[in-house]
Amino acid sequence: MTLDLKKTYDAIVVGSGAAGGVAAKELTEGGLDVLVLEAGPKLEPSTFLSHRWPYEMPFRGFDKPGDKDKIYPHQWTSSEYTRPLYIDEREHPYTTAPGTSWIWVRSRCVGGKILHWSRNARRLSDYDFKAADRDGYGENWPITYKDLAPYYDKLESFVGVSASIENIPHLPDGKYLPPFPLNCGERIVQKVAPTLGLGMRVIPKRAAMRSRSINGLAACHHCGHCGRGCDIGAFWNSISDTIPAAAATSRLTLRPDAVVREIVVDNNGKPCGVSFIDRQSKKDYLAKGRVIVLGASALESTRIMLNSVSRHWPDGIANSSGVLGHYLMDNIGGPNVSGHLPQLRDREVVNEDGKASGVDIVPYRNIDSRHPKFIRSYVHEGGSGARAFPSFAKSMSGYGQKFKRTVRSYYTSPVAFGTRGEMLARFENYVEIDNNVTDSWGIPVLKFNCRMSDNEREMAKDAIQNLKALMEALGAESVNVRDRLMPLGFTIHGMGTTRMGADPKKSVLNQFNQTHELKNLFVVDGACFVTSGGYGPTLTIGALAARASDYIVNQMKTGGL
Amino acid sequence: MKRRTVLKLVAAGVAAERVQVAGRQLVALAQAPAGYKLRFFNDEQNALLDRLTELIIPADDHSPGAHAAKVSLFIDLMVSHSKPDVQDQWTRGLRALENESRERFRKPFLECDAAWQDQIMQTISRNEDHPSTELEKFFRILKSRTIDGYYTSEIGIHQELKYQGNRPQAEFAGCTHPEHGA
Ligand SMILES: Cc1cc2nc3c(=O)[nH]c(=O)nc-3n(C[C@H](O)[C@H](O)[C@H](O)COP(=O)(O)OP(=O)(O)OC[C@H]3O[C@@H](n4cnc5c(N)ncnc54)[C@H](O)[C@@H]3O)c2cc1C
Repeated sequence: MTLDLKKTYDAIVVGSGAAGGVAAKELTEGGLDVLVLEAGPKLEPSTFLSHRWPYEMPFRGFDKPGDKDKIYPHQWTSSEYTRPLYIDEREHPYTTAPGTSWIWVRSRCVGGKILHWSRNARRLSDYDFKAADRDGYGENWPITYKDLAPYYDKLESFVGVSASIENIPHLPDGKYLPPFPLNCGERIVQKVAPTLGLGMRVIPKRAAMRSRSINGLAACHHCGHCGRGCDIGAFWNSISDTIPAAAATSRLTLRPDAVVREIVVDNNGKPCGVSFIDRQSKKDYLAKGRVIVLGASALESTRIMLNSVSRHWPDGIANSSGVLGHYLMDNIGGPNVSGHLPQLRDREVVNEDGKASGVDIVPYRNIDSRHPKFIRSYVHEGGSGARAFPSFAKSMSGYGQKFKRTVRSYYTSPVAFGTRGEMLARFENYVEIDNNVTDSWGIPVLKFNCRMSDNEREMAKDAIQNLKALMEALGAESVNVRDRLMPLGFTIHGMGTTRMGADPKKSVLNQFNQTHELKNLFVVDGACFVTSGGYGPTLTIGALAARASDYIVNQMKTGGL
Repeated sequence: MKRRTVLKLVAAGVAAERVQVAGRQLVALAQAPAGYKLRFFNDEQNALLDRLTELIIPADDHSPGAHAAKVSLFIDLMVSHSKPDVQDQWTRGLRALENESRERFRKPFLECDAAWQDQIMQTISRNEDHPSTELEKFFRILKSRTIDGYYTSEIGIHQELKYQGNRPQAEFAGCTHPEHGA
């Protein structure tokens, strides 16, 4: 359906990624007429370079030298294969306060970042939702695991998460498809890691990609290039699952190329619509809606709210508390090790790259005991197996026949692990509007003020020490240790800035992702997070979006909205 | 091979039989990838580069090497789009290598026999982890780009590494070795 500017939609959803896609599905299935405004274009999966060989690319996948610095200096996960799937930073600038940094990775297209995400889909638990009760730091979430569990169930049952049942209290099991089998190196790690005495336990990655077809959605065909976009739509990517489900209700209007500038309010300061700019023509439009649901990704939703300034809302909409923009979080990333398992050298090469999912070392810190140097926990993500490009060759010395033979010999034996850890919520980490800089559509940009604390640094030190110990226990050769903590934003898990809470003075949203101050304004993406958890937010974003949508549908039916 | 190129090689002191060897290489290079024309290096530089990449990743009984994979042309493409300081590093590196060869063996590098060429390779790769001289630094970028070019070529991926991925398949087999499991 095409957009009708005269019509007042039941709900306007901003963004079509993980959050917007789930909201669109749940709201339309609940009977609402929904308009989705998406800043980017609609991309055809047939144009994804999922199966392209490097030698078929103009620059072998390494990109034209200089392009990276010029076009996308911070889009570190993008490559020559995925250019349209990421933004061009010349059009989308942002700034950072002196002495601070933030790596802001973004996608503007229908589907957003989950078009090419890594698909780690772990549930949070009450170890997260009630973390403040356990260690006294910060705030609890206004919900418990029990409140969210049915929505995790529903989401997993629809999009498909392939994983094993493990009965781990702090990593609750879900409604799973069979896990992807482990390869040789991963099974060796699974055997060895528990012998370290650190409490390490190795399980198959909990991956929102399908080991079996369900709900008419494709199963994985093991080509191994999920990060370039999936041409058959075999993982949760919005464009092949939630958005088509919403469209099937005939109650969805999806307007791509609609760059939302701000939320428009009536004479009483209450939202009545959204103003947007056509991405290409740069013309201004106003769309009307009863309920506004922001799912533009954590920081873009907050930017829209901070830019929604009016007589009623001088500091940004629904921001009497002054909390809007604050408690910015990422997960910590960086500490990683790689090496080679001697028993796997010189093997016959098999297709191990086709399983684009590895293993998790389940969080083992601050679960049953308390670490003296830091609170909260982290997970190690990793795996083994021959990848297309032997980047390790660059750290192998020499040249000639011997060098070539060495690379061949090690090719079948790599093993590598990284770390994702919880970053603490702190008021002094925040975003604000930088009124000196605008994007290509004339919209003022965000300025980041974000720093790491000692807790993150101590956590990273511990993580790298344990990963080193793991490599030793494995007898790994040619080990590479990177103990550097990457700048914040690096894990692409931006969270917080409109956090939920029971107390309107300390939070922006209530437990249903509804602003405390405006009944018809919701934020359903990672901006609502109270704590960052030790790992990826996306499954939880989806579950919360589903729960909020359920609430909206019920409130509309009962006249509460 | 173009007459102009032959003359240049002769002028550069390349002996007649060498010209033929180099000439065959140049012809092979000129044939593929279809229509590729050097963008940054000249024919002599390219011939030298071709030899150097082959010394880093040579043909062996397992698979062809960097020469057959036309790695020098990939390097030419990448360097042609690089910043002037990177381009300089390459031209200076090639020149320094040529000078080294003439100083030590009184011959252009391409005219040296395998043993002499290897002696020079040993010299420039000596401090790979902490390169300090111009030639040592040159070896680093040379090797890095040779790895990039070779292992992303058809020869590198399919013949040398025998990579099995990037092929749709119904099931992923996983590990079938009891000794790897718990
Ligand atoms: C390479 C990579 C790997 C990742 N791996 C994982 C992982 O393993 N596990 C995990 O949990 N998370 C992972 N993530 C993060 C994950 O992608 C995000 O958490 C998730 O996509 C967030 O969903 P979202 O809907 O909030 O935002 P997005 O997916 O970014 O979608 C937001 C949408 O809103 C649109 N939009 C933005 N501004 C406006 C505007 N002003 N007007 C209209 N529309 C707008 C955008 O165009 C976009 O389509 C990864 C991300 C990347 C890039």
